[in-house]
Amino acid sequence: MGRPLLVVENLSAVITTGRGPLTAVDGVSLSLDRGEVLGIVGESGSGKSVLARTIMGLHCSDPRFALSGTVKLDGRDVLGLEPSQLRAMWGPEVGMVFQDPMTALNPVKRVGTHLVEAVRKHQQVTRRDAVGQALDLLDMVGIPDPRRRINQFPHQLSGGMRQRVVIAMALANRPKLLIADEPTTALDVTVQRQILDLLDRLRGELGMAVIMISHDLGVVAGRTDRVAVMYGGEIVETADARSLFDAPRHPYASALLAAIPSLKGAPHQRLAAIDGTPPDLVMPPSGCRFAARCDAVHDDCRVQPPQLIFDGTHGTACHYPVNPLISTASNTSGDT
Amino acid sequence: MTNQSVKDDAGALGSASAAPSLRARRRAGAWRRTRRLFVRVAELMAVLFLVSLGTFALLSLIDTDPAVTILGEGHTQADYEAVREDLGLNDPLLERYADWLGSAAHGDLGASIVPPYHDVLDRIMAALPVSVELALLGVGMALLFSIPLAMWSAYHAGGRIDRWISAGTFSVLSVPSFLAGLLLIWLLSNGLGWFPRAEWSRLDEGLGANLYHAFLPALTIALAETALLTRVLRSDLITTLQEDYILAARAKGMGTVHIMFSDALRPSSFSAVTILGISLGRLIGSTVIVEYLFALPGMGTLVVGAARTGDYVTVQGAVLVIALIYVATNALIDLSYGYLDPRVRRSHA
Amino acid sequence: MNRKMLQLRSGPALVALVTTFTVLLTGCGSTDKSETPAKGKFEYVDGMVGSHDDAGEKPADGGTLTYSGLTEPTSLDPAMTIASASTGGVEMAAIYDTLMRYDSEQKVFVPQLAKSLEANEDQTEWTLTLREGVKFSDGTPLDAAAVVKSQQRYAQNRSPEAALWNGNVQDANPRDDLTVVYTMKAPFAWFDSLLSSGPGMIVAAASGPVGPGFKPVGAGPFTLKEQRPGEELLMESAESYWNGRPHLDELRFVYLGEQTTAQDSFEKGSIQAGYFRDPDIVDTLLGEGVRGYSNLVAISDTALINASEGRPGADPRVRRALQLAIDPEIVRNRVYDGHGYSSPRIFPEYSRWYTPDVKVLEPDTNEAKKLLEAAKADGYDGKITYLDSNTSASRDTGQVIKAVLESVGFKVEIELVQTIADLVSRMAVERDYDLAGWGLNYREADPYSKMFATLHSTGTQTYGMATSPEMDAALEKLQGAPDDATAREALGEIQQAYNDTVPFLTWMPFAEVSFWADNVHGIKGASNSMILFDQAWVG
Repeated sequence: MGRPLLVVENLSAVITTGRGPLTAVDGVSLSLDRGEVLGIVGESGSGKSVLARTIMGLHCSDPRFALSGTVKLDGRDVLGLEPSQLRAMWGPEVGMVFQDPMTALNPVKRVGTHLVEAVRKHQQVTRRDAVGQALDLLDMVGIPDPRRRINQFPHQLSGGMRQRVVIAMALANRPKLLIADEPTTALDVTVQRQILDLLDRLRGELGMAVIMISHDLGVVAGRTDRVAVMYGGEIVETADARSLFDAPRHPYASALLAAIPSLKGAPHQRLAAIDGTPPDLVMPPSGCRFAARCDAVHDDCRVQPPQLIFDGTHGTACHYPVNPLISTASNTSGDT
Repeated sequence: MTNQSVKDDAGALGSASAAPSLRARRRAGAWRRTRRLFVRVAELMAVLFLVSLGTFALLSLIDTDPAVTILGEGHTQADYEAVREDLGLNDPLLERYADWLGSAAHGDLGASIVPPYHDVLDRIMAALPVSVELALLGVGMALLFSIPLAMWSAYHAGGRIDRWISAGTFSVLSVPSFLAGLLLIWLLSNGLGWFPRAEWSRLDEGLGANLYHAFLPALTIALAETALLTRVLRSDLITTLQEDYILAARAKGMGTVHIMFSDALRPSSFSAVTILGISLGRLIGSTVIVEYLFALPGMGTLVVGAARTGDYVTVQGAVLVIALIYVATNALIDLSYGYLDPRVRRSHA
Repeated sequence: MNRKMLQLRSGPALVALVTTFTVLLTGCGSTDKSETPAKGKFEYVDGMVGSHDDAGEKPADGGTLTYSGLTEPTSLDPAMTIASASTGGVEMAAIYDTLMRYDSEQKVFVPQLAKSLEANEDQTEWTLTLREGVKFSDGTPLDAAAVVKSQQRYAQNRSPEAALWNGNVQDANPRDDLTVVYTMKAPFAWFDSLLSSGPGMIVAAASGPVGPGFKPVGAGPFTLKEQRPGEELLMESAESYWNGRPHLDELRFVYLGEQTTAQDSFEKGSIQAGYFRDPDIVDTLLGEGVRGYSNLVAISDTALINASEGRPGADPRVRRALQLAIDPEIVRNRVYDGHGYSSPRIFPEYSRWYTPDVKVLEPDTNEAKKLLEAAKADGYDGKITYLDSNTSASRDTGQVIKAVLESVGFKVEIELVQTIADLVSRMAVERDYDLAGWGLNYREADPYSKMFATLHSTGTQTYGMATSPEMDAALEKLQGAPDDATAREALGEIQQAYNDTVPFLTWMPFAEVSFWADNVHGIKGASNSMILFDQAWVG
């Protein structure tokens, strides 16, 4: 397999806000092999979007962001690159699919222009060739009648079509890594499935690594190799997809799974929602950030922040994981 | 939203079966467009009618006496009265207006009622190009300055450059145009001697000379317009720059300048273009101060001169032409919205 | 207040501050480019000014001379437009020439287009002799018949000086092709002056009647090439001119709005000559020794007093009080920044018509107060309105007058109208004013013409001003004055009659000067501040 495609080490992103410095990403580490699919799951405010954009390098020249740690893409530290190097990288090496297809496309530009300009930026081709590539891209993402669509404006396409174009835009220069930030959140359920299937297929065809970010476990289930669960700017659990879904160890991950409504359950059964709200990342609580909402909380959870400890490839950041594991606490757990 | 997606997906399936209905749709579209054009023209006519009637009525309230201009001083009350009677000034207002309207509808705007009795349309056609040129040059210069300034400002929003540009535009806006003109003259004309003071070179006497003479007056106009456009454009650009598609463009690897001009400019131009249209229309009629400062033979000079002598026929004709231009310019601006934002276009669907 | 607040930490705030400061400076400071000269630093002359050492220079042919006039003439018909430099006279003189012209050196009227003009002993008969072979630009001859026809046209229309003509000229008889004999109704000493202005501009029959369709066809050195209103007036030299084609190819008249604009253009060389009247500009250019032709015009800046019944001015005590309250020096200093020439005398010390033995109404605020008290005791409330047009000089004058009059007990309201035409309407036509800012313009060359119209009880331009039998008698004496001495006597009596009646307020004469560049030569002076270009050339 060789060296991993992406290695993130102890990445932190601190944003200067009116209220003070906000630690959106706190000491995140992960790695991704070529062709691998990593799912990052978390609720709003968990820092997953900031993580995605920081990995991509989009925040490097933003004076409000203080970044530390390393993000090595194919051996090069993204955070240390010059803006021109970053621009050369965006497109051919890494691409991003955005959440809202309504706003990710420029309403005054034709569909074709979005694609052609991406192609011509990174490849020395004639306009004609670029247009040819654009048509191919539209075909590749499953848009019928590409010759008609290529001259249309975004508002003339349906939501699903638009997202396909966004994907096409991200893939125009065949990046090695595709970061999909909530790619289906803004779409209808039926269309969601189509888009996810498309992403699967493209990954297979192009051999890309994918980071799939979502708050919806259902999006991530069955379509990823590995999953990382984020909470409060940190990764609280990471494992291969199967293991995580079968037996989550972090109380938060466990609660997330439990919250998924099931067809098999009794009718009128209450949703097992998680009480409470995400922590304030300007003044994060000492100790475990999930402690305030955790059903299995102990006293020392509020004092000592847990580290991400690995058992093989399964990492958990909890003093009292919900499934049997070597815990960091001195007392052995007696609870479930 | 959902309807459209169903339609589109249906379109993907049955394109062959759409052919006959396409022709029918096109015919329906053509009829709709013709009807729209007709409505537009009717609106134009209505505006012109109201403006001309209003102007006529207002002019009748101004009592600068053309008889005094014609006869000069030193004559009897009776003499002046006789001249006024001759000119038909004692006839009822609506009757005079109807007369004027009748001729105007045929393109005859009458002749000046004071010597040298020039044909009004001729005089307007001689003066109009000057004002139009000044207005266009002024606005053109303003665009040339304001786009980069606004972009720079928006890109560095909140930073030092932005604050300097903001202060600059604020100062310029606070300076009235005649003062700005005087300062420019003092600096560039009298001071450095780069530009002429009070001369005009007609377009048919050579483009180079004409532009050279038009530069300073156009710059005077451009200053205020630049300040206004910069502020408006900057504000809209800042909003646009926060849009997702700007981020998406960055994520494609597009450069900053490209993003500014290709992605950010058009969606941010609505307010600016609207103001541009209003400015253009307004400028055609109100370059009078600049014209006076530089002694230029434009519409402003024409109208003020005519008003001073009580020559209401010339004023009436000039106001009509200005209104026409104003409406036409704004119609053009309206059309341009479709170019700027395709979502606005009423396309056949 | 801590230091931080006092420090200008922001550059942009500094920019704004500097801009504001500049704006205030340019607003407050005058755009005056010269130092204020003391009165009398240079002599105010009626005639040529600046060095005119043209002797020995050979005239060059060709070229265009651009002259900036004060206001654009609406009509070039002498039967409609007053023939003076500020109203289109220079333009008309170029097209029609004038029969006679005023020689400011000799202080007499000399023939210009005409060959000679002689008066009989008692000035009741004037004989005009024309040159041979003079033609209009359309080829028709300018003979006695044509002259008489043109003058009839002038007299029968409501022309500026028709009243004067009709009041004096009994009959105009073409004795032969080249001679016209004019019979006066009474001894008239100033007929030569009339032939140097409007009635002396002979219009060809081909010009047509007065009104729309008029075409300016004359026998002058230039013909009208093109008239672009608001832009320029172009003339080209006439081959048919009796004295041969003029040196200049073209004359170009422009109208630049403000006199400061004209001054700038003149200094830059965009125009070669221009008419100026603003005291500060005139003083500057005189001080620089620029060449030109100056006419000193008495009572050029004044206020007329409406003496009609019901008006404050109906009471002679009020009129006297008004004049006594005003110190001309104050007006000169406050309105014109110390430029120009002020005097309570109609014809001041510089004048040919100076009458030193006649006392004038020197400013006397105590006397003014007393007179006003007396008038108030009889029921006058002290209120008086000052009417003027809306120029900056008018506004300043109004403010000064108001301040001065209120200091003796008047209550002054200033009313400004938008245009000169409005002012004429209110003042001249409707006679609806108490005090009105105006100019009466009594000329050195011929004081009679304008004085008669404005001061005689039968004059057409009195506009409600007070007249008196003494004034009438003095004017009639002036009408027939055979020599300067008699004329001066009559003018002395007029000054005296003025002192008694105070029909208008006296504070300043103006110098009306056409200045021209150093490389311009051969310009001749004429009446009413006009200049003639028939022998002008550009070196």
